[in-house]
Amino acid sequence: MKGISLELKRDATLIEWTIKRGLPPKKVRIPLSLTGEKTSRSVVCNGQRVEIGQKIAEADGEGSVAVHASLAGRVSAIGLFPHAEFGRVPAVEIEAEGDSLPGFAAVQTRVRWEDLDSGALADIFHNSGLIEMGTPVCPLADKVRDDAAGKIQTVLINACESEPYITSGHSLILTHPMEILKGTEILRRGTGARKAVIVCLNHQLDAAEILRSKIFFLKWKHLEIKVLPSLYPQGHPALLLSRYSKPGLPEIIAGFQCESSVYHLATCYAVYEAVVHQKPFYERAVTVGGECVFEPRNIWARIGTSAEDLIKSCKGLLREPEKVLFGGPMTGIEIGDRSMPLTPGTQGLLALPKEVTEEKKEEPCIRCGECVDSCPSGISPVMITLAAEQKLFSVAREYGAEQCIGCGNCQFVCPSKRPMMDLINEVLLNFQGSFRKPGDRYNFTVKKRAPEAVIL
Amino acid sequence: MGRVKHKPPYLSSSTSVPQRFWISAAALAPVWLASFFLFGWQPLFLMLAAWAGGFAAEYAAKLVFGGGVQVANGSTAFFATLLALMLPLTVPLWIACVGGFSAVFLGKEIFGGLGKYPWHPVLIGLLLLEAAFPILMHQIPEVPEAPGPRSFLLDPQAGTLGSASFLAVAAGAGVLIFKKLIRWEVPVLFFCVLWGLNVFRGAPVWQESLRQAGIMIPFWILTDPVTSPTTRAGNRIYAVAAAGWTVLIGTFFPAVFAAKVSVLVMNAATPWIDHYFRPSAERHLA
Repeated sequence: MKGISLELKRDATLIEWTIKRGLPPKKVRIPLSLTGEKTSRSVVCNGQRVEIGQKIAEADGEGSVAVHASLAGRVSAIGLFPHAEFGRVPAVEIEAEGDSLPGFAAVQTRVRWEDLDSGALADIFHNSGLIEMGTPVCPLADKVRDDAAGKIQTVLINACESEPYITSGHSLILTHPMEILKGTEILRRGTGARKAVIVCLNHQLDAAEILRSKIFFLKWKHLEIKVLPSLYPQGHPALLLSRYSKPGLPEIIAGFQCESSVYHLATCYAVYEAVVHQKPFYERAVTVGGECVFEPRNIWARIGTSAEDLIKSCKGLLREPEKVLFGGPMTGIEIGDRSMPLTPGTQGLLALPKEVTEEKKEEPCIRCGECVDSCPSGISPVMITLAAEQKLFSVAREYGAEQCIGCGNCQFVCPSKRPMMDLINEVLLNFQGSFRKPGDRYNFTVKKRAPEAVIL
Repeated sequence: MGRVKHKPPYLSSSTSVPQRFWISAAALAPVWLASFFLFGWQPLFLMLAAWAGGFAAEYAAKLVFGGGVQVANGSTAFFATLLALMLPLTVPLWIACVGGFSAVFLGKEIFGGLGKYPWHPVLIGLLLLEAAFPILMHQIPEVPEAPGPRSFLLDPQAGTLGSASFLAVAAGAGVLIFKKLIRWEVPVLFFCVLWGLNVFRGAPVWQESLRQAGIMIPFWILTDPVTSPTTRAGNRIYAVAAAGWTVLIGTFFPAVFAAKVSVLVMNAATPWIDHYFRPSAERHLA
């Protein structure tokens, strides 16, 4: 596979590889929508006292998910609040009450989780408000039911961290290997797959080794660890799917059913906690990193915590960053306002200095072909963008604009510093009848039945 | 409300267009030093004259077409240096100046500047000079008889500054390949095909191949990113076809002239190669 080697900068957050409990925030704003379209129905009212882990919103049809309080306190507002990705979405604001900030009290450990069948597991996922945390973010129960109905063969656990700075998944493996493996096993049973494959990258060999040793101990033959070369964007779900199942990348991007399904590593851990400890989903491991953070670390962050509070948990900033991002530097989202709440799909919060993210002067395209050489989906970004500049959108489509997975390699390697991603998005936006829209960057969970010829 | 700006990636590689051109120009340093070693100060004067012509063309283009002056991106300096090194030693300085001007103005700026020209500007400049001043351009310089190991470096028959030393050209080309500014297959395939065709023709293989290639052409002109195809496969076809044309045209015309014309022909064929050998043709979805 084609890809690029990035300077990974992982060491700053892996020196202290445990995951710290962040300072409890004074206020959280929990978004009630995952995709910006479907919204969960709030079941609390203004001024109501909520406990940590209490359900504050019910799933309201497919695409929405139950939401749980990540902070004990009083509901101070329910309304539209800013969201990093979708402008403004409905959210519940909870303010902590007093100094007592109790953690989650485990109800009861479920001992015999092996006896649960696929439907029962999906119900647990549904009630615990579990979310598939990789791209694209979606309710886990829906995805598991889809996969069980589609009779998938393999569950792929995406432990690849190909983006720089982001190490939250890696430290999750180092600190909780058994939980990850059990979560994987639960997902495998939930989807009815025959085997599960955990995919790591070559710079995560220590994690792979820990997992291998635990698998050896557990004697689980149906669990495998695969190590891929350290290239960006190896961890992209569409590429993993095309590597381990039959249909090619174009079909996968178009959303055809394949015989594997990708789940994010963080999802596995949440699944374990939800099924075994009966803990609803309200927090996740997040990397707070970047050169501007005083003590870059992985922390347990509650959903809805503001970026400001997350940075405070890591002893604040060394200096004013140029850009603050939710997610990695290659696909993340820049947030202008640091009161923006943490969303379930966010793997990291980065505060990057000017030296790293500086936008350079744009030069004319010299057709050097670096973008073609580095494009993992094998399309021609140079031709697409040159056509897009001339507004020749159908020509751009002929060169494969719709097979773009949005990894950003072309823009990274471009010596002319052209805005490749903007131009490609313009093509997707302007081409009538396109099966993809720029908003749904990786819209391949919407399963369509492929023609028989495609599924081999 | 917080600003929502959706513009990843936020990182970019450290390469840049000026860097590419300045390194390409710097890779010509061994060739220039070798010619300085052989011929004295004249190559330097030729180069300065070509630079003067090139920069004058840039400012003239600014006056005629408007827009900014593209001097900082290094392409003009690179083209002028390359042009000077492909001239015979005996030409007067004004020839270099005219060559530099016509290469940059008629070869590059008239098409819209960097990234837009369909044919390599240096070839345009050189062929214009050859057409306009054929007698001046075809004088073979007197190369001093070199004793000992120095003679190994020399090709007294070469006729131009740059092709006087194989070793210097190889050193410069090594820099280009090491820095990944050119795709190594292009010169390699070009030479392989020339070699093969010469074996087939029964010509003296090594001398003939090197002479036909004009030595600098496969490294600095054939590999120009703007005028060559964007894909790796396309580049291979381009190099092979250019070598084929070189041999074909070379049977009727002087060898180096044939190499130049065949590169022009393949420059013109580049859009077709890009069209028919696009990277993803496989399995289009309705």
